Amino acid sequence: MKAGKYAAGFLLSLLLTGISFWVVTSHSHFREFAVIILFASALLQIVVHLHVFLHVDSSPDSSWNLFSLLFTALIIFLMIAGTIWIMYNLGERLN
Amino acid sequence: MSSETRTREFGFWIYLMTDLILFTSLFATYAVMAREGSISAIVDLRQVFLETMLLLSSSATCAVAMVFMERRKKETMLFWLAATFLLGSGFVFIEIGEFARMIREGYGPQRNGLFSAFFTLVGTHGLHVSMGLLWMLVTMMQTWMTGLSSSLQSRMSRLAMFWHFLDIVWICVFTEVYLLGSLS
Repeated sequence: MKAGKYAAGFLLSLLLTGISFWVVTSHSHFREFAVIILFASALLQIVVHLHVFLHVDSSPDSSWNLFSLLFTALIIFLMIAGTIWIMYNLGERLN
Repeated sequence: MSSETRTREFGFWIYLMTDLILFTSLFATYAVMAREGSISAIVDLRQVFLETMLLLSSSATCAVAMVFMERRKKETMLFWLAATFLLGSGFVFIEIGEFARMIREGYGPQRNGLFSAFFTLVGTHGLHVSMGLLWMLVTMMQTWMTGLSSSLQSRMSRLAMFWHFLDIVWICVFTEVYLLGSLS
């Protein structure tokens, strides 16, 4: 049963990786479309990995793991968005 | 699973979360540096695809090794762990080759801020994978010599966590650095 879950997770991540590489190498899409597909498939693949291989779910056993992960996600968002916001703004003032 | 093992796994999980913050600062730096340039001219996407496949497959073989550990099949577990080790080594091997080629062609970390950020980010991930490989080698030797004791199983489950975590970081690396960098 566990093995089946792993197999499904592996096939799903192969598919999502394939989509990511295909959307870039086929050169036949608008840039915005390709960026959205890239981010969506990366996010989906991260969720698949977290759930299938790192056993993060909504059970009481992993609630602390889930909460610390969500808190880390908040910090990551603040760091990435804040850095890009400030540095790109400064970059535009320099031009 | 004993409560001690569960506590240790949670402690290790917290370490992984802090490691994620470390990678975040490197990703943020790279995102700022990538505004002024692109690495697409020097990067071979076929090689990156091969690296991705190796790391993804190694995550799967690592999961299979865990399944056989829970069934207490020592030899089968060691076989799948050895497969994981080989796939991971292939990844590091290709990455070192890529770094060497880039430096040879004048695109080393000294070239500009973009390449400094590239080598720091991708190199830090590569170093993590290399440390994981060392850990795996030690675990395989211990399993071979002392068998599947409960402390070894506990360590093995944390090694698997570390390995799957590195795969998640790699998803972000190939998406932001290689694929997004090849778009513009």
